Amino acid sequence: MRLGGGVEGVNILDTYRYAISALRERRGRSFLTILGIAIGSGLIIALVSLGEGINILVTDRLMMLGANNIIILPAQGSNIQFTDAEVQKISRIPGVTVVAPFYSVAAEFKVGGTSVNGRILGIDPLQLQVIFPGIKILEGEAPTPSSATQIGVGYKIAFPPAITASSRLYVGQPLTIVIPTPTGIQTTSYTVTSIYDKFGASLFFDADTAVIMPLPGARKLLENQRYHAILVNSERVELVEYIISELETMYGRNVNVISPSTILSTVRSIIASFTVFLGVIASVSLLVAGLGIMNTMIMSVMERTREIGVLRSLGMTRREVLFTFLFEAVLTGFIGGLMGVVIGVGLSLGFSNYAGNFLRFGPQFEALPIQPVITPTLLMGTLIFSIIVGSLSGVYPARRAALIDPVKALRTE
Amino acid sequence: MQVNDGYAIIVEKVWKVYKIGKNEYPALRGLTLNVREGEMLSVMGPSGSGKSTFLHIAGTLDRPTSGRVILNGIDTSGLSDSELSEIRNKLIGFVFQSFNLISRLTALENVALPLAVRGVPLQERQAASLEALRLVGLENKAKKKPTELSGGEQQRVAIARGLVGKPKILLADEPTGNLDSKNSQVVVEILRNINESFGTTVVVVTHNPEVAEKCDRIIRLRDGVVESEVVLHA
Repeated sequence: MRLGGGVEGVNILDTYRYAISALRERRGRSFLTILGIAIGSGLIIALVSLGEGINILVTDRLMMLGANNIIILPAQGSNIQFTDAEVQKISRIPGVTVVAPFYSVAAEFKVGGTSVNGRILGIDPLQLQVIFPGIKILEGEAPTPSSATQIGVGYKIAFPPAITASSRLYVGQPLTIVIPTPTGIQTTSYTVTSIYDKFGASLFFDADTAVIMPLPGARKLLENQRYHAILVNSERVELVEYIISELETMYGRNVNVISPSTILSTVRSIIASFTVFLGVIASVSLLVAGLGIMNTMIMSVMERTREIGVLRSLGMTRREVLFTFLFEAVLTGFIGGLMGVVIGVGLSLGFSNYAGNFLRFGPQFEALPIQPVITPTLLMGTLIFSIIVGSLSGVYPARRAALIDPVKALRTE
Repeated sequence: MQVNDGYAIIVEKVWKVYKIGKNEYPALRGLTLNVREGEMLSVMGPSGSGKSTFLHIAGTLDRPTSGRVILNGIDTSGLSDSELSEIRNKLIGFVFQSFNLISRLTALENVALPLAVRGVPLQERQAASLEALRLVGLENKAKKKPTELSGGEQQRVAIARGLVGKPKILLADEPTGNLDSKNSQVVVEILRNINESFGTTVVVVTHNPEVAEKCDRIIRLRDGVVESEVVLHA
């Protein structure tokens, strides 16, 4: 039935104005309700973007070791001997391109009166590219593979951060290395032939605080014919699994086989489930904030009973009353979500700037530069989630408002 | 069917029974009461006589338990909520004892509400609301909030809200109940004025004999039926 004239019903812009005026009338309460949503959605954004940032960081670090690489180490308690004979055996596995045996030991390097802690990596300098793909020589030339006196040094050994530029290490100068050996503390001097450019830390080796020592020198220094570990490079990433299974048949439980690609999938799945876990917690806090909206709205409907009666007497339908209150809840969710985007971006940037310093793998490693991954999808998704939470929270109070009997409503004081 | 025979409101054998627990309280007991188009009617009676219930049922805020209500020729029985809402919006204006203005809105915004509900564009309804405020002599108070107005002024704003949609029927429930005699007089003058200038049918439920005297006819209710009728102006 139409009483003449086109009836469009309440215009959405008027509903908006009306909702804003209602939220402003109880601004303290509205602010707190909105803040709840903002905190919940902000947490989602911060935690998910940081989780994704950590994921990328760990992936990068692991990939620095080379996705094609496999490292085998003697198992705890095993008396397996990593000798040149083993190196020969391993290099016969199909798909293996390089087999690089190496020594790795913590040492102290004396540079210009101070000392730098790092590791000696005893390896054939020609095979260094396998362990640090893409590493470049900044000054000098790589040590001769057969030399027992030459070494190459990482960037931070040549340029220790603590001392002045004038006392840096130059190619041709000696470097004193202090290490504990079975026969006591040993101090030896070596000639620096190369300085490597900044490379960064992978999860196992920090190239910048490493001394690259050809195998004869390392063998003599450590008084040991057995290698500490063997790095095996596969022709293609897809062959890594196969080579690992071959190595496991050869050595059984006598060795531990580590490969960046297999570690990566494990680590990534751990990080992913952790991110999901944090995201779920943050989502729960957003849902709790939704209960806050519901609570506020129920109170608001009770306080505004008479107003609802007036609106009904002026010709507002039940549906329009429902929509009016629902819109208020949606608006609360929307404003909260917008604030949450700001809070979330702020939190994740702040966290990556300050808290990244606490996430180190060891004192000799640099702080991990976590770059939070803030995508438009994450921001939009969280905003939409906030709006959905707002609207779901509004359904019950809005229905209560719509079902109020106008006659009773007009009688309430 | 749109036959109204010159009646704005036809209330026909209307019963309204409220149930509270197992007990039934009849507020209207087969009330029959017709209001002519353009008439200004006063409804009096002791409390509990059913005059407010009559007003609510005539205003489609409440449905009769039995009987019919015909407004401007439209039989309201069996109409949906949205149809009744549309009748209230277009055909009826309400004025209440306690003004019932929305405190966070200005006088102008309060007056404009029925038009906003109707979906009238902002500028158009502001102009109409200002005109309605002018009719009650408050065009200079358009920007004021209800709390900044006196009781008499608030009731005049409420009247402006009641008439802004150009309704055929204006229903006033104790419009002077919260006002002093001077303001009561002003309010009755305004209601009479609206009735005479626009031919709006006005029904005033009141206790106040001075208000009732200004009307064309006085109906007295008792126990949910018409007790007596006095015609003052034919």
